[in-house]
Amino acid sequence: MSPTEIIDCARALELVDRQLDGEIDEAGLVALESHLAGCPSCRAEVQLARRLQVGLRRLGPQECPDSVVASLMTRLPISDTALGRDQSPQSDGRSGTQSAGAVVSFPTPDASSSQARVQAARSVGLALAATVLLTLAVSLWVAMSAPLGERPGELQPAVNGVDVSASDLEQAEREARLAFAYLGAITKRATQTLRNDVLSPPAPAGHGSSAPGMDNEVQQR
Amino acid sequence: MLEQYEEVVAQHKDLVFSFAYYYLGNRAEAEDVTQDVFLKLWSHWDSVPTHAAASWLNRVTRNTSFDLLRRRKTKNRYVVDTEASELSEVAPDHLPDPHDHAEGAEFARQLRYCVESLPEPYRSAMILREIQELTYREVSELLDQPVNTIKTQVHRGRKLLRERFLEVNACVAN
Repeated sequence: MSPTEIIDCARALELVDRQLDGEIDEAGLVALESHLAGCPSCRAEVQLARRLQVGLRRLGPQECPDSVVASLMTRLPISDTALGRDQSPQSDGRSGTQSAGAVVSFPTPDASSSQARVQAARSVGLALAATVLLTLAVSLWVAMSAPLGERPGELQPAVNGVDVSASDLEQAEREARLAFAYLGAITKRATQTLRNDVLSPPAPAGHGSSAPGMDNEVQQR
Repeated sequence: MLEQYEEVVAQHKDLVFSFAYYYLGNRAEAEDVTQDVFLKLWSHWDSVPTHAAASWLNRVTRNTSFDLLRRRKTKNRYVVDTEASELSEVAPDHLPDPHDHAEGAEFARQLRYCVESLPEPYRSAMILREIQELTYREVSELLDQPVNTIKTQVHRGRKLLRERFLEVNACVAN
């Protein structure tokens, strides 16, 4: 563009755009200023354009609140299906040799180990609860099975002056047996869970962490 | 990989949130959209190449925001907008005293309203280019369109924005 070129309003506004983008050259700038000097309407337009650009840039990018990400992470459906889905080498048809077009494999050994930890904690908790209940039950049984005169504390009628009948004793014995049966079932279940989930977790068929392709895809990223 | 997913989230969360915020003009809705978009990324993780994650996210953010707008069907938000307090968070550094602060907040609110009222494709182009200050090339990659097309959209968007701004000011003055 010639510095002395006379431009019309449409051309002037094009140059304003270039100026806003920082792409105007010296000749364009001279032509624009020359036009603006004689054109009040373009001058007003340019002033407004600059003001709006500054205002928009002051609005600026917004920062995503941390709470959004935290909430997002709690909503991720990390299911068994999701866990196994991408560990299959044929899951997306990619061989794992390309890098630019590689996709991320889901989910992760981290997710698996996290799930195992949750199961382990649950099993240990169950086992502890069963142990406490068992201890209480044994104590109760010892107290109930001792001869009447030798029972500790308030069970001794001679001490407390309470008259314990034979039917009361039979009822207590029945309840103690029921409690033992219940505790036995809980203990068995806790032991089974502990053995299955913690001590010897089953190797997932077809989507274990050592499946071929998984490592490849992990390494791609 | 969960870690890789988290990296992608960390890298793009501001862009997604910011775009939704200016597209919708509402912080709470922008937060919802941001979560929805990244949940969709999780469920489509297999089919989204890393090099295309940004443009994929932007496309989904626009679509999700647009769907939300259609459901909302709320017009004339400038009149009913009660988020004035948010504006003070936008650029406190540029608003040094109470008087300027009030003027700056009003100006910012008008600008946001004008941007929200722009039709597509000008709104997306203006948000990315003028507010997010991305280069034309970056905008072109995000919107998956040629650079010259984006330049035309921004040029037209600026002109529309000026017209809207003058209209809003005329309404406020009356």
